[in-house]
Amino acid sequence: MSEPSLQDLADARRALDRLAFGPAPGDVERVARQGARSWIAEQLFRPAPPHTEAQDLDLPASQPGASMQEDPQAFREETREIAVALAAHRVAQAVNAAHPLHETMVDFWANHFSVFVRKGMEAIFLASYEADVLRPHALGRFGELLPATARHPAMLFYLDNWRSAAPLPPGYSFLPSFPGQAKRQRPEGLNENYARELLELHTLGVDGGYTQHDVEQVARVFTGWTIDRPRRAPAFRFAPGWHDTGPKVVLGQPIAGDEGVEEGEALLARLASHPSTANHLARKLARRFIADDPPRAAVERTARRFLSSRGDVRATLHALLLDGDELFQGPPSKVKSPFELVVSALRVTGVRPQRPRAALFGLLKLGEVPYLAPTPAGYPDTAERWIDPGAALERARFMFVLASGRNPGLSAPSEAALAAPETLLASLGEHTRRALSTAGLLPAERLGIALASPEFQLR
Amino acid sequence: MSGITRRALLRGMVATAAAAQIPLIVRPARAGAASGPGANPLLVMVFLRGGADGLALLPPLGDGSLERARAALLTNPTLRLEGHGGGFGLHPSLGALAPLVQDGRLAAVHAVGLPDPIRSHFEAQDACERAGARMGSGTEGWLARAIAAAPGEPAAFRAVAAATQRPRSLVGDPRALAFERVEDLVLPVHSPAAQRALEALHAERPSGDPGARIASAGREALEAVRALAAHSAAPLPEADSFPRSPLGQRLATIARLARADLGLVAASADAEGWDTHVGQGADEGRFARAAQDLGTGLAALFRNLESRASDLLVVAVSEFGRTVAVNGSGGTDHGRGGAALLLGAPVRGGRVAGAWPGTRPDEREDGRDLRVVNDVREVLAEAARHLGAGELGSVFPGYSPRGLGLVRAPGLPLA
Repeated sequence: MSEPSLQDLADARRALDRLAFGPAPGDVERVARQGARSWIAEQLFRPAPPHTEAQDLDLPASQPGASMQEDPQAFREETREIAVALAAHRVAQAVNAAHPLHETMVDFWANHFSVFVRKGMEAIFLASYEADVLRPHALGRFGELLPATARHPAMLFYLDNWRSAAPLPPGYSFLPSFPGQAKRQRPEGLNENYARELLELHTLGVDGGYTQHDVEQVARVFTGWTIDRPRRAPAFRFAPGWHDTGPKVVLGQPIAGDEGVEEGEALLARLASHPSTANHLARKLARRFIADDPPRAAVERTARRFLSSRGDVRATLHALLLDGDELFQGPPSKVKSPFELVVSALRVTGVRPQRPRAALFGLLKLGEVPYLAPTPAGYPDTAERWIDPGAALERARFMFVLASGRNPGLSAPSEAALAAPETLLASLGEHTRRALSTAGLLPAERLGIALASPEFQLR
Repeated sequence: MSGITRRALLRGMVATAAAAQIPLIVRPARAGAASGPGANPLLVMVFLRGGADGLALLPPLGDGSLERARAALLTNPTLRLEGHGGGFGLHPSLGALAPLVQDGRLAAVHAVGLPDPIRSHFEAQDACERAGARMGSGTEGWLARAIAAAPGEPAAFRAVAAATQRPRSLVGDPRALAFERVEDLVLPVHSPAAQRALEALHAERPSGDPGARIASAGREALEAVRALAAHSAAPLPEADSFPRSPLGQRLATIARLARADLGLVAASADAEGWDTHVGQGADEGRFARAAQDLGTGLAALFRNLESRASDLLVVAVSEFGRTVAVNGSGGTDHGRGGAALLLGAPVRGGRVAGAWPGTRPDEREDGRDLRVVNDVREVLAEAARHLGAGELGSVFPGYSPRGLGLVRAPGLPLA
């Protein structure tokens, strides 16, 4: 077998940078020998990793022993530990991924269907949200992923739908008649938080052609979608008595109103295959993998395949990544998000967190801890939101800490990385070359400069 | 007078004023700078993220339809502002702002919002922070444009966001700094060689170079670190008595920079916790906690910046308001008209300015929200004028602010 050409190596590097959180040692050569496109195809059609039960993840007890009511302080501490472990688990999975494209899509969907770990009880729902919803469907069908998020206690709780019910007629009241029943009290009416984010963020997109009226109608459709036994064994439950049984009209289409939970299920199916959803997802995927302002042709091609494949994520990604050449064209212009930056640095240097908090501290300063996105929109995915002077300083700081080998929470970088930091970069521009040749630099400082360079921060 | 001596003098004056519980209004003239109150304007923008409930922040008093629509959310305000009908009250958890209200240094604009009926957080925040500029990648924020239109020279600390990321309003100002704590602004390396290498790494690249944006950001950061180091001969005064919340710490960062005389002109801080879909509460609850945080944080800001009292304008806005009626979960959903607050010595306060649409069901927008009758750009224009931005047409493309007259022009003596 002939040695890979420079072009083969460059394509392999691009594929790894954009689809796999960057190369680990040996990856570029291996993928180049296989051929970048062949490797992508293999990543796309390899079966998803076997399902791991939430309780089998290496996490602290996924349900705190302390009750929020009885001991709020202990509850907060335990949920914080779980949140740290969950985020560290995501870092570890990304650093060591056997199926990197799958892990990249877990990250993509974790942002698309973002849930905030600090709202309250989120922490105790999140291990299952990741294990049972995000991971099994990451390369599956959007039409199965969407309802899985909709029914999961993490989403029901985060976007308040579990407390949404049909308004009661005037004069009726389900207010508790016994002390202590307040927590199980029937909600008094609609909460439209989930309905709005479902349309705006999860499916149609903000320009997807819906109105405020649609938001209210969708909220009515999902009345009664709530959480059974939220504190003991949280699970989806449809509460018929909370459901709004009146007729509704969503996006111009009437809904009879007497079909209970099936109304919501049918609506999710309709939204999952809506052309606006296809456009919205195609644009987001192209932005993630190609460019902040992706070529129109790539977006349109991807949206068409999303529709024709009825929401098959693998087929959709095939259209985006392999049916055109945009992935491999042009200089690397995507700025790595903090998560991508930190994970790629760990992968390429062999540095491993020695305890969960070590890598998260860097991510916290850089602003992208998994499950800590402050809004339901998830973390941003464009350079203008990630790069400013303060961020540039923090990015460089993390890289020098990592390269120094002196942080007790991080293992030392590999000898190979210290010996030839310039080989870790996809390209080496004049400025970075000059910086690396500064007289008097220690090996760890040279590694820090390489990792802090624009070349390493771009993909 | 050297900077250090002047700062020491200032610190002494602040301490004396604080001890005597008298506000220190007069600012000593800066050598070579225009003198007089307001000659060195300082703007602090606080963005209430999540859609703050203007009707809870600033409820119309004696409003029967509001009382019917949201009995569970009503409070009994003691701080009052004049305005339509029976006037307006400030939420009781804003009690820390009492001195500003009593001195007539707090004004508000109610039923304020975007011209378009947007109820999405992200779209509305974006529209508010672009303030008229078309949407799209790379579009400048209104504050970046206002700073560009204001007199004065670019400087490392001219515009600062106390945040991990630059807000949309400052996008387009390549020098605008974003950092949460003053302590974060130190070099990541120690050795002289590594410092030289870091400079070389961030040297200017051709604009087509994909690394140019990162290099430019790094260059600005290094310059800011140098500027801060030049001032640290005397340590920055410790900002005391701010809440320990994220907002409190961001405002403390701003206060420290403003007191260090680094040329800070405009600062931005986000306040979170306003998206009260569930358990909004009245005197207690989610809303009260957010309001308490805001009130005590701003009060601490004014206490710590008494030496710059005549310069300081604080403006708090949100992307929209919330529904007039309580929802099914003891909260409120996204609505249209919200409330904006303007605080500081330059404010002609004591009142709620602008039009008022009423809260009756037939007066509401889409039957549910407080109608937007005041454009949020009117509020932002007051802030831009305070900065001395002469040409507002470039700050708010396609919009000509009529002027609310809530802020005295810079350089004018205080009434």
